Amino acid sequence: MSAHEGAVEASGVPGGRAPSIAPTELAKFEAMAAEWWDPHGKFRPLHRFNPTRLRFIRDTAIAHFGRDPAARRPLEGLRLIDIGCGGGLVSEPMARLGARVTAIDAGERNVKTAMAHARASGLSIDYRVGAVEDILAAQGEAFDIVLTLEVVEHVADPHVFLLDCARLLAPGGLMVVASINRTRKAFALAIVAAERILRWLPPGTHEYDRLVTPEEAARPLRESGLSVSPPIGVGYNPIADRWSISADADVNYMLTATRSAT
Amino acid sequence: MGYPRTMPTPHDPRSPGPVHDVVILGGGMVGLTLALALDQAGLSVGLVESGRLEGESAATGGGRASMVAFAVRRMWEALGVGGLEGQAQPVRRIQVTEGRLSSGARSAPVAPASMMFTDADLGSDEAGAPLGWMIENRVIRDALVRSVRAKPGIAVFEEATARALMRDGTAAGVQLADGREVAGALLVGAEGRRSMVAETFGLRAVGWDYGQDALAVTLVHETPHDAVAHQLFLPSGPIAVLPMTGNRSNIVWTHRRAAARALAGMDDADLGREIAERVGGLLGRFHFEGTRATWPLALAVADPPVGPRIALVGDSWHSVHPLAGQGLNLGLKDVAALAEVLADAVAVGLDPGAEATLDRYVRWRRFDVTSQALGMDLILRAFAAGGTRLGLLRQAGLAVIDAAAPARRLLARTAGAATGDLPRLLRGERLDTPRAAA
Repeated sequence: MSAHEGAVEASGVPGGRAPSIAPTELAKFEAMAAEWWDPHGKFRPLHRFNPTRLRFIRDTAIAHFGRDPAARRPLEGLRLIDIGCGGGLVSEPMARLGARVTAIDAGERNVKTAMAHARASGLSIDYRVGAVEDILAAQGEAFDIVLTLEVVEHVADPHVFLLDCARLLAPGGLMVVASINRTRKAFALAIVAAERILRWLPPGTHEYDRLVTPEEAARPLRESGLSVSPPIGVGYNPIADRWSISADADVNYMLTATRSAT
Repeated sequence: MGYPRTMPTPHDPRSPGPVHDVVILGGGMVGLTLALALDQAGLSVGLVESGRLEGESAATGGGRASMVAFAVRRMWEALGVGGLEGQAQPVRRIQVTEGRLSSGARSAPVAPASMMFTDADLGSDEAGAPLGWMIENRVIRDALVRSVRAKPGIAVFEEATARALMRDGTAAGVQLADGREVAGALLVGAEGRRSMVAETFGLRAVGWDYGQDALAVTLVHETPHDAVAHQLFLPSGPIAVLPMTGNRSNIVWTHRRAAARALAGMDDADLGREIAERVGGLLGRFHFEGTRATWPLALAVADPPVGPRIALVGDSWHSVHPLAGQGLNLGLKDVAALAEVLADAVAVGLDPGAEATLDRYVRWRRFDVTSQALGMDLILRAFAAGGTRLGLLRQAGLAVIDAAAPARRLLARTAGAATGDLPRLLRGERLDTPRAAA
């Protein structure tokens, strides 16, 4: 693990490019690392939100790869990378569904939390400290499923970051990007309401100018030769206190892209 | 307590993990139904029961019967439980009466739309459908046991005394007196009141003892009951007269503890006279059938009803006053909600024993459980109140039922919306079919 730690502590990475993760953004999540798995802690909204996005990813992957929806491990054997895995809230369920999971995060404390939790859960997940460019530097790794969820809004250059993520996608593979749109509605709900009024998230978790629209996220994916589907929304009903998939991608959205098999 | 050798430990890389997805402690009607629901959803189940599954029904079925709501029957059908036909008495109406029937008592039929006792969430939309069915507990149990026996995915550990309960970061389970261990990702307490799971892991109950005992007997009587259930509020406590198949009725009489024990100790002739004096007008001549059952009444609600890798269902979570024989429905709503929460979690790869998973179960059920328990309590107090100062409250008792029910339901609907209204099983949907698009 020391090699990975070195990569994080160094000001740059092999290849001389700036690291993809924005240092101030990384610090915010590192400060909360111990709380990833506390359903009543700082990540409570993420735990609430998680089943909805997991079901979307599962159903989309089952449809794309022609797997059995009734199987207990429908993603058996698929190579999956979770980029910006945090405490492993998505990596662990994907491993339980049968995927061979590699998970990376630039935050060393995040990864340590994730590793300890996976070990306690009896799950085998290849956790690494690092950024997407570190994976690229390691030759020849490709993945059937590339996930980068709630990450693009925290990276230094989303366009370059998504180009790098797309390079990890194997032929015939499926990529899912989830983020928050840059709209007035997103500003009102995801920043003003969620952070400042409801205090679901620590104030400052999301900065408006860093938000990436689905169109901006789709561009580097298309440049990489992927077919990109229209974004779908993840909506919150405050009366029912429930998240669900919706057509409204103005606030939380998920984007899927695929690489042709040939 | 420490880790027994064969329990999975968090730091052992060779750890086989929990043997079952869910271990259920308690093979009563609630535990058996939960086992069937989880099995249908594809989860592996270990069911631990201190007696024989079959033997239990004869021992505890005795004089007890339950009002089974429409949606609960629909759930059992969805779970493939058969054999209730012909043994289920439809209940068409519930008549609530204050005072003795003989002395010009105020009596009112309670409209189905404003029914406190029959949970409207669990009723049928169909015109003319019964409010519910009265079925003897032993009949229900026998049907459930037959279904459980036919499921290879349910590992039954019977005549198995739980010596200790264990829990670590990945599993919880039961250590049996014979040394065997049954572990799973989640341990569910379905033992009924005085839950070992609740006591071991410190899920404290709040509530109070009513100082009353309930006595249940079955009568074979002369006058047809016409599928009408009666709830009589007498100064000493309520009597429910619940219609059963044949010309039979189940009487649930709650009384101050000493008086109830005296009744329970009477011979048939004396007890018959006491009952005839109060409800004889309804039933004509009658004789007793089967055994008598008695149990102490207490309101007890554990809060919270879950912890890491543990959850409570039914009476283990909440024991309420069995007004109109409704206690079972509340427990089976827990079962339907918990089974769906666990099925949904496992489908997306989430840990069924994790707190975040169990959180959804609590949010789904807490309001309903609390309001039902307190609603029953409110009604009891309104009717039991003696003296002139509280007399007004008693006078208003029937109005309280009518006023409280719609308000409660409105709130329940709002709160229930938190996770999606009525659980799928109670809508008659199976858990092994794809969920309808959201």
